Amino acid sequence: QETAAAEGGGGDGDGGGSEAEAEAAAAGRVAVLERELSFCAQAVRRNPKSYWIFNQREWAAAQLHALGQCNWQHELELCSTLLSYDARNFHGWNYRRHVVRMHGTSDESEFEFTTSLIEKNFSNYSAWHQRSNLLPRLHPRPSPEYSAAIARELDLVQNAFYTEPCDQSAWIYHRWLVNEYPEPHVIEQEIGRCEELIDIAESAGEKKWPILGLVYLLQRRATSSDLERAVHLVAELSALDPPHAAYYSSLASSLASSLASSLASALNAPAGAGAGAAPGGGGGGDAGPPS
Amino acid sequence: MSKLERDKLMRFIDRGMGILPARFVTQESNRLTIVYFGLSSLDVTNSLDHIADQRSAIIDFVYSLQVLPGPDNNYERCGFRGSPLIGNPWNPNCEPIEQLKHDYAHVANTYVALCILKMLGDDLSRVNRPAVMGGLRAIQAQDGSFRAMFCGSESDLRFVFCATAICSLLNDWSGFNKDLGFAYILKCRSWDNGFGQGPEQEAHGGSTYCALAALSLLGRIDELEGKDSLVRWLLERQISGFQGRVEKVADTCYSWWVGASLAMLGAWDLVNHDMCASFTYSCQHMIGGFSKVPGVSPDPLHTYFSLCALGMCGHDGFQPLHYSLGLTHRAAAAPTVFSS
Repeated sequence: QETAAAEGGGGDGDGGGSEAEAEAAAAGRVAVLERELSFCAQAVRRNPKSYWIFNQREWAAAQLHALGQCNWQHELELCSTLLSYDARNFHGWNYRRHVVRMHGTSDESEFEFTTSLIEKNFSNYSAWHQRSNLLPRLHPRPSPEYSAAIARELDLVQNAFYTEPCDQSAWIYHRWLVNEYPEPHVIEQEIGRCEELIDIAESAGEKKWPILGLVYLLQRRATSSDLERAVHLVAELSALDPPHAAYYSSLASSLASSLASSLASALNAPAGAGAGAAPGGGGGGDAGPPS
Repeated sequence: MSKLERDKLMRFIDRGMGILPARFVTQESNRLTIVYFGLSSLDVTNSLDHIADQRSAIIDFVYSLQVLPGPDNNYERCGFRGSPLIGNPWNPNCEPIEQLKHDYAHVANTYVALCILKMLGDDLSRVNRPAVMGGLRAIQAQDGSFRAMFCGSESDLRFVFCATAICSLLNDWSGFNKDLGFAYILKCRSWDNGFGQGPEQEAHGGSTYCALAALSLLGRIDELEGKDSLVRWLLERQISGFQGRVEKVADTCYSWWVGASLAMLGAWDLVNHDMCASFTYSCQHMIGGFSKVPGVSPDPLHTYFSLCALGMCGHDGFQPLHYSLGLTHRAAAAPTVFSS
């Protein structure tokens, strides 16, 4: 192969003869590299999580690309196939991101790909993850378009919550979404949605995530009554999910101290000042945090 | 069963450092890491005396794997290889030697080589430190990441961690651009607060450990923002044992990757130790050793990390661990010619 390339690449101005040789050498090289890709495809079926098989594939594709002969569309389809067997294969996702860069696939098209994966299975953290990469590229951040996109995502995760109530994936993504669009009306909306989910939950497993979601939202809005309620909800979580008791205990402590400072600053604030720090009803008598 | 089967464990470790089942042939190039898992299992359980009579033979074996600069003093390929499979001559005294074509150090094997030497109380006097540093310099990319070998490989946080640990153990950072390395680590932070193997990658327990251990060894873990959110992400990985990523099954090695990460963040007390220990014991095999999940074959890697987990969960008589170096405190503290 090396010899053929050397002969082909001579450039001695000999006209037709060496040009034909050069073409033949390049074609030979392409054939070898395509066989390599085929070999890698067979190998990856047996070892879908091998770094080296993907390294070799990437190398062979790069060589073909240098010859203007890489079928990146085919590479993309291969990634889709791989991810259809195992949606969480990060080697597949990494290679796909590489192919997308080389091929110039649009972010919109990739976003649609993740949508199709999520619609097939809401428990696809890797697909949610890829969306978090794409969203800030699809719209300037911050901007009304970005906020609108996040609002659409907040609607989408609701489907996940109803279909797969015990699944963590969409809830963790939800936390990020709220962080990206923490406007009061969004917090209100999401608090309401969590409360609905808690109402219809049929088991401890189904209650846990909406309750935890509600706790974090209340922690954000952080009125004194929010924080009080959050402390009670965390106690409920300890009962629903005893293995994580130590974490809930530390969460309760930090909520209690937020509540204490919120009440303290409300007591110290001049009359009529400040939103969000209103003490619980009854004229500020009982300032201690609930136990 | 919730009791360590010590005798079976010792026999399992012996086999792991003797002859492995045929399916491990694909791991030959990383043989030294398998030796590390075996020896560290002994160290953690206070049983290094078990191989006392092999100590100097093992030390010689490790040094025989040092990739040395040739007569031209080129350090690019230097460090330690994982196995003699390239056909290198037996050279435990590290005498000057011609370099072999296609012979390259591998950063993970350089790391475990130094760990093994420290565990066995060797003073590192045969380590060619400038050459190891030169080898690191040659594998750090412009973006601060490290690949495993000079001839090429993927480039990610696993090898950044190995490089920081090597510099720390040798007390020399001349082969490591700290600012670039630090910047790369931060680029691996994911939207959910965990760390992926590389930028844009999904957060993963193993890479989160690598990031935190590297930051810790760089003395910059306190600069980490959003620690509480990261602690929460890590704690949520405990479902019985620990999962490596969201919605995956628990696997014993993540008790270490995620557990040690939490320990480095001062949050190990928020873990359910009983549940972790219980899961770990459910992976103890009747032939000895531990597997990744219940009911499959045990292996040296999962055995070692299971033992670390049991130690962290309070097993009697285990050696305390240096979380960021991946050694017992005792081994980490062993003096060398490079100690300050």
